[in-house]
Amino acid sequence: MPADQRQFTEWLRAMKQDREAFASLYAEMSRPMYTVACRILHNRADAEDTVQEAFVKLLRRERTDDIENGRAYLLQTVRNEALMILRKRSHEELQEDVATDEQDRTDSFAWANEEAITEAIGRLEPAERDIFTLHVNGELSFEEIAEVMDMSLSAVYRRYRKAQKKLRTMMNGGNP
Amino acid sequence: MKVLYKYRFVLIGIIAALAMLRITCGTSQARGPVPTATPMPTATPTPTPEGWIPDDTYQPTSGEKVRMIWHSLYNDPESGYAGYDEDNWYEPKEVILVLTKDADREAILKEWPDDVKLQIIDAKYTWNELEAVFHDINRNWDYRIGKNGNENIVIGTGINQRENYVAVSIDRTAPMRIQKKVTADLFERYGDCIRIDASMSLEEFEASYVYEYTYDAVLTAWNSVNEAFYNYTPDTSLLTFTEYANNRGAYQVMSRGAAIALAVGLGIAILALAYVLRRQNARVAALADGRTAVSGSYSDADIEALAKSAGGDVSDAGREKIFAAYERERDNR
Repeated sequence: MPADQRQFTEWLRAMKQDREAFASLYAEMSRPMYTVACRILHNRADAEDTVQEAFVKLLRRERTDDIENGRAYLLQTVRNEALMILRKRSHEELQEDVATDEQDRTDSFAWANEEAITEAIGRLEPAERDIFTLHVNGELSFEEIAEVMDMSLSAVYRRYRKAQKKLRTMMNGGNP
Repeated sequence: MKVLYKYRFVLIGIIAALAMLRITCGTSQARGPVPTATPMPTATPTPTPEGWIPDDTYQPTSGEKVRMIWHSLYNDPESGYAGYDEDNWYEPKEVILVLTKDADREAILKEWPDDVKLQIIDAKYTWNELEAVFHDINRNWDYRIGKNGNENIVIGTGINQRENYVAVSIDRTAPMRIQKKVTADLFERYGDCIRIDASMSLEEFEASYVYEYTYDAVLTAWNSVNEAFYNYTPDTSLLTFTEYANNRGAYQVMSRGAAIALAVGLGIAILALAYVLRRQNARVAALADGRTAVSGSYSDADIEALAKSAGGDVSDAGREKIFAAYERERDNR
């Protein structure tokens, strides 16, 4: 069961002085944050750097107890960081990274059974991909996703359904 | 609900098979109420009047002059019709008249001379009811005059007034499936009003009713008929309704059409199940293999679960870097 808002608030309040609180926060959020970053960047090293940067940004905030939704905040931060890195990359660099990352992905992703779904998610439109990942891996509600991505709730829901449909088609052997 | 949706083709096949079975299976159902005859007037129990013998143990004595009962020579003497023919006399035979409980005994008694002795046997069915069943069977099932197509295997009927049933002979050379179906249909419709005999073929039945008579032969036959009727021994070889009801399952047969429909329905169900299992196996194999393209029936829930498990973890080295950054930030404060 994901941590509730109250627990998040406690961690955020205590983490700057309490390593255990930070460790708890890290344990709760590192995996979804890393997944979001990986699916945007397709590069493990960059994804880890992005996660690190998101935590650092959190630590550098003057106040953390004013964050209403810690989960959404961290996922939004890591997403924004990843998109920023993506924009900085040139087209050629991106292609090389992708080519390299194909092997990296094969080496680093220990779960061979999930290769297909990862590839399928990678073929979604960026917004669809992010919405799907934030909802499934980040466990954000559609309302929270709408806030993170600055979109209307109906648009978020519509794109999510579209992502579902495409993934279902791809996973069942069709073309989206 | 998801499970139901997943196996929807199997469920459709099973439902289709059951529906076909229910609609077309030839189970024995009554075609309608047993035909009722014109009810005879209800008898009012009266003290045994003179001339009536209230039980069946009476034995004729030699020399008694009594009226003769007319018998049809074309029926089995043990199941014949008993009536009154004033032109026939024979000594010293006892007159026996089988009556039912609904008979107006007084009215019948008035029809007979005072010296006639009558024997009374109480029965469940009136003579009129037996006769109505007799005619109904002949009209609908009789091989020669019925209208039931290939299932006309009733080759003879007769009324056994003493035992109070209609005897029905069915052709024993007919296919067993049809014999069973006709047996079940007759018993379901007429209940214990009938008994069924399947001891003769149509040829044997028709041959047994070819007679050549001379006067002496008639007289001899007439005497033997009356003696046989009086010294009647019930025929226990016929199939009764009780015996049929205790073994109903053996007589339930499926019509060809229903059998075909059931086979088709079951075939659809089996194919649907095989299809679902094949897709399931393909999916399992693809997942285990990991290298082949996944194929199969993925639902949205399956995909979400897969996506969730496919999420990555920060490496140990990455974790160390993050925690090192944490320590730096904490120290810098």
